[in-house]
Amino acid sequence: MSGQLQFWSGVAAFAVAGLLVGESYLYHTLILFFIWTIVVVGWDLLLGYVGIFSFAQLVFFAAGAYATGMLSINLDVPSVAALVLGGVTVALLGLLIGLPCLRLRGEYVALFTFAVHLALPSILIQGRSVGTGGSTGLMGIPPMEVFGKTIHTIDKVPWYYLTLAAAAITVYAVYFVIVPGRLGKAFVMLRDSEEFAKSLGVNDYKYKLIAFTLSALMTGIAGGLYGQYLGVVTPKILGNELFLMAMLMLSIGGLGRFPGVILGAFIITVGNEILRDAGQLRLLALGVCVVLAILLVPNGIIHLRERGWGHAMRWWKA
Amino acid sequence: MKRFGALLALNDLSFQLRRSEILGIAGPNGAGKSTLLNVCGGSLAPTSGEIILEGERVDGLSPYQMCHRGLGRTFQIPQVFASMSVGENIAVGRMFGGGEADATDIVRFLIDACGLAGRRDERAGKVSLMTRKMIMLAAVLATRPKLVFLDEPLAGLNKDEIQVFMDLISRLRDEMDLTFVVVEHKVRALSLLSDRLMVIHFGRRICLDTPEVVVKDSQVVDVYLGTEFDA
Repeated sequence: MSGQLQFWSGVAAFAVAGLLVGESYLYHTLILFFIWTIVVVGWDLLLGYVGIFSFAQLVFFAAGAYATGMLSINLDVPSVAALVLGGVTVALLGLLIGLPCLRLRGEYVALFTFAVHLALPSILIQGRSVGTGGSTGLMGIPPMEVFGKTIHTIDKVPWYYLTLAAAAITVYAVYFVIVPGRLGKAFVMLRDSEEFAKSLGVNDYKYKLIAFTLSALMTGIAGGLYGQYLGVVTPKILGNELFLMAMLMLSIGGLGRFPGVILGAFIITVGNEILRDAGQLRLLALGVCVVLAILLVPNGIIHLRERGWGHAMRWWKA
Repeated sequence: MKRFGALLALNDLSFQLRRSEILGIAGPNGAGKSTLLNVCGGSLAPTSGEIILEGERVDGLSPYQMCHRGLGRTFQIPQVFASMSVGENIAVGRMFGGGEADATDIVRFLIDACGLAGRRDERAGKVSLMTRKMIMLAAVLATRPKLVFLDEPLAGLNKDEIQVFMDLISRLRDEMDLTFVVVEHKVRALSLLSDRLMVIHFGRRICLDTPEVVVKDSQVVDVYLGTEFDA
């Protein structure tokens, strides 16, 4: 099945499912899945296609939630405008974080961006004076308002379709517009062989900054939606749990191939809800899953079909 | 001149290229061949000195700008875009190389010339060494360079492959009006291929002349070839 067909049938299936689900808890799980889809797709663009080891993706996510929330709470910006402005703010942040990364080699990019990730909670906790709400975070982020209608957290069906649309637009833009186009070619060239790409005329600084900015923009908007949906955001958004979950989505799903990370996001958001009762053990289980995923499916399930699958079948028969 | 701290990697090395010639560069390990190539390709900026291409200074430009000015290069360890097909590898050379739009289809011409016609749809990461070298060469030429630096293009090839590669370089020079600078350890092959040969040692040029003269030069024999000429 071609990628386009997969995409449209997936969107159609979820659109129909939205009419049938009927249960609030299931809607909630799928809304989170759509939001996480945007996050991992933005991450896939940077890590899977350009080969940049950015661990600042949850920084963009948190910054999006905070920027959107602070704009509406502190400055009374209407919700849709706050979401867009929040996204643009995070895109600029992405550009800013991308700049020093231009001078760094792979693993040092990972160290630098992860340092930003580790520094942000303290900044948010100390930032009460600029309106971050300190350790309690932002309470009562105004809900989304579309066409004069307010969509509260409990309005699951509108949120379902809103986040489905946002995820579908992001996925389409990344995998069917950016990746096959000139930008995507430059990204893959830089990933496969940076030196060779440069010698063939690819302006490495330009394309890496574009990648950082685009990835931050999507992830920031996902964060903004997350904040508006839940109405609350605290520094815990940068805690171990969400970080591990996102890592799992990437490692189980598989980078650099549609729909790898999206499958990962689906498995992990649903799996996480199933494990909800496990309480404290859930984090441990997530950690074990990361290790197992790296050992058993090093390239993610999306790459099983071509290599691992045949291998596994032979192993099974032997 | 290129200085790394106290180490003078290139010392007062200067030479002029003639249009459409093949200049061979040889020298012992550590002579500065790779440094020279990296300075000419834009990976390193010279500490002092100039690189002038058709009257314009190009030293200190970054690699992608060098490419857009018409300077191409290949790498000692053959580079390809492993996840792309062979055809795509060459197409992206034209896409980003900034060369003028051409009436003749340069990509098709290069794929045929480099013997890649049957492999156009194969994944570039899975081909043999010789094919990798051909892909790299074709991709560089697709950027429409005027001058191409080849870094040890013959390394790791067998006798027949060396012949094929050398014939190809001569043919492309004639058909595309290219100038080549070939850095190579295989001196016998290099002296057959080159119009002129330059030998460098400790970052200095010790000889630059036709291959026949160079291989008999007493200093060259002394520092590089040894008393018996044997590639």
